Amino acid sequence: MTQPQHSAGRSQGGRLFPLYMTAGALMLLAAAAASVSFGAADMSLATAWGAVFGFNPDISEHQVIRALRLPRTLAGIVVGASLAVCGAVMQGTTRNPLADSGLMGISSGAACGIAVSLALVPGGPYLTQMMFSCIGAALATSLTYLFASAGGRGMTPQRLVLAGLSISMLFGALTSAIAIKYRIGKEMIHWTSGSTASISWIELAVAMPLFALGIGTALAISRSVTLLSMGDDVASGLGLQARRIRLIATLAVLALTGLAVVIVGPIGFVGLIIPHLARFLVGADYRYIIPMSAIYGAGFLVLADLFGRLYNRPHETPLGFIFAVIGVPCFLYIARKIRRETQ
Amino acid sequence: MKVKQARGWSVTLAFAVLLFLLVLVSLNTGKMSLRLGEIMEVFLGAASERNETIVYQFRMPRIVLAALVGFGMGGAGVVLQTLLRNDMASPGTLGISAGAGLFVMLVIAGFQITALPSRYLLPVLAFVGGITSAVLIFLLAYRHHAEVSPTGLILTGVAVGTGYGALTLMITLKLDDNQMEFAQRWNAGSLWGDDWNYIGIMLPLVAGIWLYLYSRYRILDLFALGQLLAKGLGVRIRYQFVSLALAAVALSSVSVAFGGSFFFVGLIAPHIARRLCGGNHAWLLPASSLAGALLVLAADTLVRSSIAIVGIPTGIVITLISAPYFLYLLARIK
Repeated sequence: MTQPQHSAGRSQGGRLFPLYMTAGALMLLAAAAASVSFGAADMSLATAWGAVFGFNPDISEHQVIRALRLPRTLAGIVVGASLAVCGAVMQGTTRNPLADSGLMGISSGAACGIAVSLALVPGGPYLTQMMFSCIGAALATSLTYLFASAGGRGMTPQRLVLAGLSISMLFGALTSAIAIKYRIGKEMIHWTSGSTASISWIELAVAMPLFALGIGTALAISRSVTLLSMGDDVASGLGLQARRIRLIATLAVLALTGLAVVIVGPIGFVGLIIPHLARFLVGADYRYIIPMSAIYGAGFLVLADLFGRLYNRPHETPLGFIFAVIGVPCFLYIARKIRRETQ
Repeated sequence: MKVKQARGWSVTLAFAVLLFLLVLVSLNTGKMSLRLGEIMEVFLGAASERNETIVYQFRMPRIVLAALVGFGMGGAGVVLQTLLRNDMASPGTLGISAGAGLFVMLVIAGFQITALPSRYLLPVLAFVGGITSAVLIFLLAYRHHAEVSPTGLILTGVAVGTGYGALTLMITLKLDDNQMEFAQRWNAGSLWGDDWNYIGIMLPLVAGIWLYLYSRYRILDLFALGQLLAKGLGVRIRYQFVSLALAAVALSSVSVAFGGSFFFVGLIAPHIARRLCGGNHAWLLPASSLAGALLVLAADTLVRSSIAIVGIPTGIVITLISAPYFLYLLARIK
């Protein structure tokens, strides 16, 4: 997509950026507070506050919050921010409005990596799983890009989606084949349906450094991503080494997707919707879009997870379902808009 | 032109011979090995009861089902590709399979699957589901005064398919363990209806719809030239388009209902056939249907013969074989 680059809109987006960020942060805070206190059993906000800041092991509610709700909420924040930032970075660097780590097959590559690690190194440490997950993600990404850019006219958004679709079906089939062959179907369910329910503190602790590194990298290259989103000609004319930035961006995307899949499993559409929302609010400058995506992505995922827990209690509605219901119409709308613009 | 016709004729014959050989191989494959002579004895009615049971009750239904599912998918795929003049069209990519699948899941959740009425209900509801998504996709991709772009249509199909998949997942979670296992196997493409009772329903449906499509092969040839030209040559475009599309959706829905979801068969089989015997539908339609039957039966035979992949649903093997081919097609598109 050619990014709209009228300077007036951008400076206005820049002016409103602190406002939107504050609103987003407040929303995230409220969502997190709600996520900690509501669930199978409701607790007062005061109890939740007490559990976090004045932990008393004798109160069972405090135990529940510490062991279950708090890691779950944190996982939601980490995964939501990761996926949304991935989407933003990919949309910018590939100049493709339909880019999303779920749709590109990256998530299913990561899930396949986890299946391989469970089959080869059963009971291995989280770090091994995360490594395999990132390798799987890298493999899927390179295959998708390879097939999408092969042939005559280069990489069009539509072609990227179709290549991503078949790559994700391929890795999905491989994952089920491995799961059946090595009888790890039960362990894999956690990674195929997309759930934050069984998060432990250890998993979060392993994921944290990678998360910080990935988000930090994305923020650091945000200025270059803006230039890349204007096209390679403009970017190199302004002295940017397009290839190096793309490589760094891809590495950050792989790390973030890998860790997100290890924590909750492949979830699509978050990385598609949130950056579009951010772009709608603050304009085409990725220095604003990337932090906005992080905050709003985190808030969105925590809210969706909360909704999944509350709707139809005590059963849990899987995240994959919630995102598909919201995401499919958005996808259709965006795809239609591109076609209108290209014609 | 004459050369091409001769080629189409020979390709179709070659496919038919291959299919026959594959059926023989497939009859020999399984946990208990039978010699070719023993199988001949079964057909001549001079075999032991044990061998007869193996062949008639276990292997034949599965082979017939695999061939029928592939046959239907291959036929539906080629008709859809011609009608839409779109290389990427197929029951899978247009989301028709997913729509049929959702309704199959509704039947599983709502009725006892083994009860007789639901056997007849199954193909009907699968058809309703397939039609619903076909209409939905058309409405979403259609724009006034503009031709629907090929990739735009497929993109819409993929999105609608994803939505249907999510709804199916939702229903799956409400099922009890037995139904859940069935649903998962169905979803992976497990050729579940390998029972003469189901085949008795499926065979006449597939044969009837296919013959109807085949009787219109000349009209399909004209559609391949483009709607404008077809209209100039006196085809009642709207009527023929709708009736042929309905028949194609019905054919694929029936296959999905009894065989499970095979995403790529309806896409790959027409491509293989088109490459080998050109664009003449008199041969393209049978060749594509036979190619589909070959593909599904080959994958199924592979699953039953190899210790390494035994127990893995046939659909997974088909996906592993045909996804690379699809990517190759994608890379070749200009």
